[in-house]
Amino acid sequence: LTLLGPKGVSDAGPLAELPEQPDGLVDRARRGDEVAFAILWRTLQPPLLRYLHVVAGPAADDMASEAWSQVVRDLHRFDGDGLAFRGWLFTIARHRAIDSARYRGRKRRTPVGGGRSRVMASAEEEATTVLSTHEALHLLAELPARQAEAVALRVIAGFDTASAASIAQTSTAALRVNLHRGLRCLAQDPRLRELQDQAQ
Amino acid sequence: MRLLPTPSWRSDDDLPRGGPLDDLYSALRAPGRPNELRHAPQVMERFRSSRTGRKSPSRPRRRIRSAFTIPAVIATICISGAGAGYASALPPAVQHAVHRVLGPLGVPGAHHGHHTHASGAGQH
Repeated sequence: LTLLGPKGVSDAGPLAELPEQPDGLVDRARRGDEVAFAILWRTLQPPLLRYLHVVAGPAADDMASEAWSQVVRDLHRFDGDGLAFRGWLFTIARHRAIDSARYRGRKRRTPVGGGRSRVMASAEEEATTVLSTHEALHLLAELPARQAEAVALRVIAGFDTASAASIAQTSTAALRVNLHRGLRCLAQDPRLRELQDQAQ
Repeated sequence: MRLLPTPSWRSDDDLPRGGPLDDLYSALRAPGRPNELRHAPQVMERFRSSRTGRKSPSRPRRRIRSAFTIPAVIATICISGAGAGYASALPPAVQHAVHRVLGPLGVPGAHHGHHTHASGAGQH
């Protein structure tokens, strides 16, 4: 499918690629339409992978792969619109990450920079942006786990506060507090300011 | 399957703006890189094989099997219970309950051995 080719990656951002009415895509994918599923995958895979890099560290790739496998397996039973589909996908991924962390007996996630992260900044990206995705994920992953997850769900995955709280299994108020604390920490991070100064 | 409350596609209303945060948002939401999309062939292959597998006759058969299993289990429990009731082999409380339901069909009460003609519940 040409839709999945690297050259087909849009410059509008991963989430901007999803059509205004993604419900039709989910319905089509449920009926076996490969193109519809490919568009959903290509749109949601980058934010999913980035979210998992924050909550699961270097295991993100495997977690994302397992989450998509479950989606493929259970898609025919899924009953919801495009937005519910996105919530379903991230919820599955989060459960996978939790199971994996329990299995490994880890008390805390491994920061993105601690392993062989595969969200590598391309030379093109480095040249055109102040901050690479890799660097941003690295900074984000250094926050306390709950703050990092709140920022990831709101900023990377694009959920509203209520949905993000539902996925993170916390209250809306707690998620909002974690989000703002996390963003305040990041805004005050000297490395982020330094990168911004370098770019100017 | 648990569904989430329906959110707007992207709600940025309560995100603080300005300064280094705008750059951070841009970086975190940057377009998907080829490296992040490299598993596409495997995922699509899984999708294809999942669709093919679903068309196999195993699913209807499984559905038919499950449709028969539950009534069969219930029937087995009822017949076994009634049989045990006739044989007065149930614990007294259960025997009494079975007697109340199946007494007209001859299931004896819990104290059948002591009372020769117990025709109804509560009659001693």
